[in-house]
Amino acid sequence: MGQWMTRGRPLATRAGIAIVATVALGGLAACYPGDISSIQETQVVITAYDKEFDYSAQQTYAIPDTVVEVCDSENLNPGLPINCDDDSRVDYNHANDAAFVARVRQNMNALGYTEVDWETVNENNLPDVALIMMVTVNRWTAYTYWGCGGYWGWWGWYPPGWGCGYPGYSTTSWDQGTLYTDMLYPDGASNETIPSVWTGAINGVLSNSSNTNRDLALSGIDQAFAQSKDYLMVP
Amino acid sequence: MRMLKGALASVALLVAFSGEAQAQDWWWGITYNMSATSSLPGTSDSDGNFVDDFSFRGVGIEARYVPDRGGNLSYGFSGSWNVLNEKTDEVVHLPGADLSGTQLRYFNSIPLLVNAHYYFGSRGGIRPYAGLNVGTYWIERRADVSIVSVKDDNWHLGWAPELGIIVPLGRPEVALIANARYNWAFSAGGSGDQKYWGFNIGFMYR
Repeated sequence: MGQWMTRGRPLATRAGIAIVATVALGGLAACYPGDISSIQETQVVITAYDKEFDYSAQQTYAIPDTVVEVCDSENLNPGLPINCDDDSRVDYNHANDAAFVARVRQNMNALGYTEVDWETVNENNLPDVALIMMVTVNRWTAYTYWGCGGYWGWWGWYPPGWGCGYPGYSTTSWDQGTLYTDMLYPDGASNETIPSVWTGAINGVLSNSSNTNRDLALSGIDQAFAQSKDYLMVP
Repeated sequence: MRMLKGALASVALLVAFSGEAQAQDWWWGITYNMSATSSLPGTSDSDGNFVDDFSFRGVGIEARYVPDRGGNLSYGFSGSWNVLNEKTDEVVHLPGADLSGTQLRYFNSIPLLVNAHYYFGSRGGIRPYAGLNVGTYWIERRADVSIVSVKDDNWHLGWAPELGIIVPLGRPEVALIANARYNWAFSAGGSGDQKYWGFNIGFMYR
């Protein structure tokens, strides 16, 4: 007994005080403080490259003027997971295609590449690399089930806080788009497949504002090239 | 009334006897914990600093058994919770790929340690001390990028040397405690050594 009792409170009480106080203080220390606070912060730019490929030997490129919807074509494979579920697909508005292509062209030129007009490309006039732009847009919905819809104390005989009115849930939905720029290497074609040697993927939650989405995509294209310039730069 | 006085005297004697005869103490404490994984030497893990920002989030509990009241040694255990987080735009380099975007990084550590401390000074005065903690760390590292979240969590064995000070607060039952711990959790489950400083301040009582 003496070992567990000194002057003052019993050991269990003192331990309890420490634990309760610790738990109370712990409430101030959330596991995951901070949050994404804007559409801009949902954007992520991923670039993937072939470590074996000799980028320094490439000097010319060609790019078509349109952005292709990946799910409309069975021949495209950007090499990243794609959701072509009809339930979640959202029609893509091609209004900004020209701006996206122009920005890729601007970045390629800045890296030192020379453009070959897409209309003149044929078996005898191949560019070193060809750039294809692709897009997917999906709608996602998240359900949050609360189980108990509130009405604290609705039933008079329940203790306060135990009244359960109706099961409640909330839904959140958002459109998410991914814009891909693939760099293909025609000379490496085999079995009717042209290998991709570089991919820049810009993924983010879309805003209701078309201008915002366009500006985000354009800045994403710049970022994709900026984080790849060390090896894409023409020597 | 006489009976009541007698009972009170008996209880007083019993309490006094049990306390003094055993001449030992259990000290309990709660601490507010701060942490850092950068700006100080020796804080990197094998993956670099997962979180660089100083953290003001954390809490701890202490229990120390002093076999010889006022003596120089104590044995005990501690449990705490340290949260480090950071919001960064730093480009992540992966094999064959690079990733950029706003990342929310979280480092949650729960050390459960047994310890021994040696106290300088004398009973009733300010007591600087040095100690050693040994035990396990549960550490979760999580990164949120866009709407994707990746995380790993592991139990690590680890240790933590500690320097601190205990300052009496006017009454023999209550004292202020402040300490610094260098937490070193050894690699586990594919996660490299995790090291961070802990700066803790709180109250001890018995």
